[in-house]
Amino acid sequence: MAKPIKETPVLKGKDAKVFLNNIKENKLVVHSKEEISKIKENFSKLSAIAQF
Amino acid sequence: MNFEGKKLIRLELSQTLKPFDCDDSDLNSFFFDDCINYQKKLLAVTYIIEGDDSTVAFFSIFNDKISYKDVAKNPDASLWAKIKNTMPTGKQLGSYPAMKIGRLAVDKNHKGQQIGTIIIDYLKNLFITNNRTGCKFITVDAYSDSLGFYEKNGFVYLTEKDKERDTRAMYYDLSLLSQSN
Repeated sequence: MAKPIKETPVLKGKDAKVFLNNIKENKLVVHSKEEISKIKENFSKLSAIAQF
Repeated sequence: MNFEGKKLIRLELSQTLKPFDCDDSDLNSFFFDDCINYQKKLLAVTYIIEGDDSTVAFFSIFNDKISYKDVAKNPDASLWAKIKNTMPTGKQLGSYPAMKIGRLAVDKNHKGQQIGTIIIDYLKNLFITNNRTGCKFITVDAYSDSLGFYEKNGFVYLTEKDKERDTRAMYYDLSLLSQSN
């Protein structure tokens, strides 16, 4: 049996502060057009062969 | 990577798994011994990319959340107050919904073809375009030798406390993608 998948930890104290601050800062970040089109292209590759 | 002749399927409980070897005995063991049990117990769903004779890659995903607490007890209360003000009303404590990549692995014969990144991009786009229940983050329980891969794909660490462990908790903020569209 493989090692079990660990649960995502509950964030406390400094970890929680850093996490919430990162979310706040992420609101100001946008991906480049190239990154967006790469993600969409890769999505299409797998969508095209998906059988569900 | 050319996916001609390959298919992406959702694991069925009665399915016969095709040969797979990602050069990691633990991940191989998860694929052959555990993923069906996770699915039987409704804990995770595994998706498989396969060709006629072999498995190319698999990934197992399940519902997750990122929870936080005790932030207000922190001495830096002013920062907490500022952060709280940026959140929508009614979402000032507790948790955010997430989707977790429990395990993801690529067969050794298909490494170096960006298949891992294609899977990650597929999941990112899937959960912002076809997000049926609400999901703000992708989380992952990442093996130590795959940390660079997840970093390259925009994931960041949830905590420094698991720095010395064999796997680390990381997340990707789907807002980064949804607000860029």
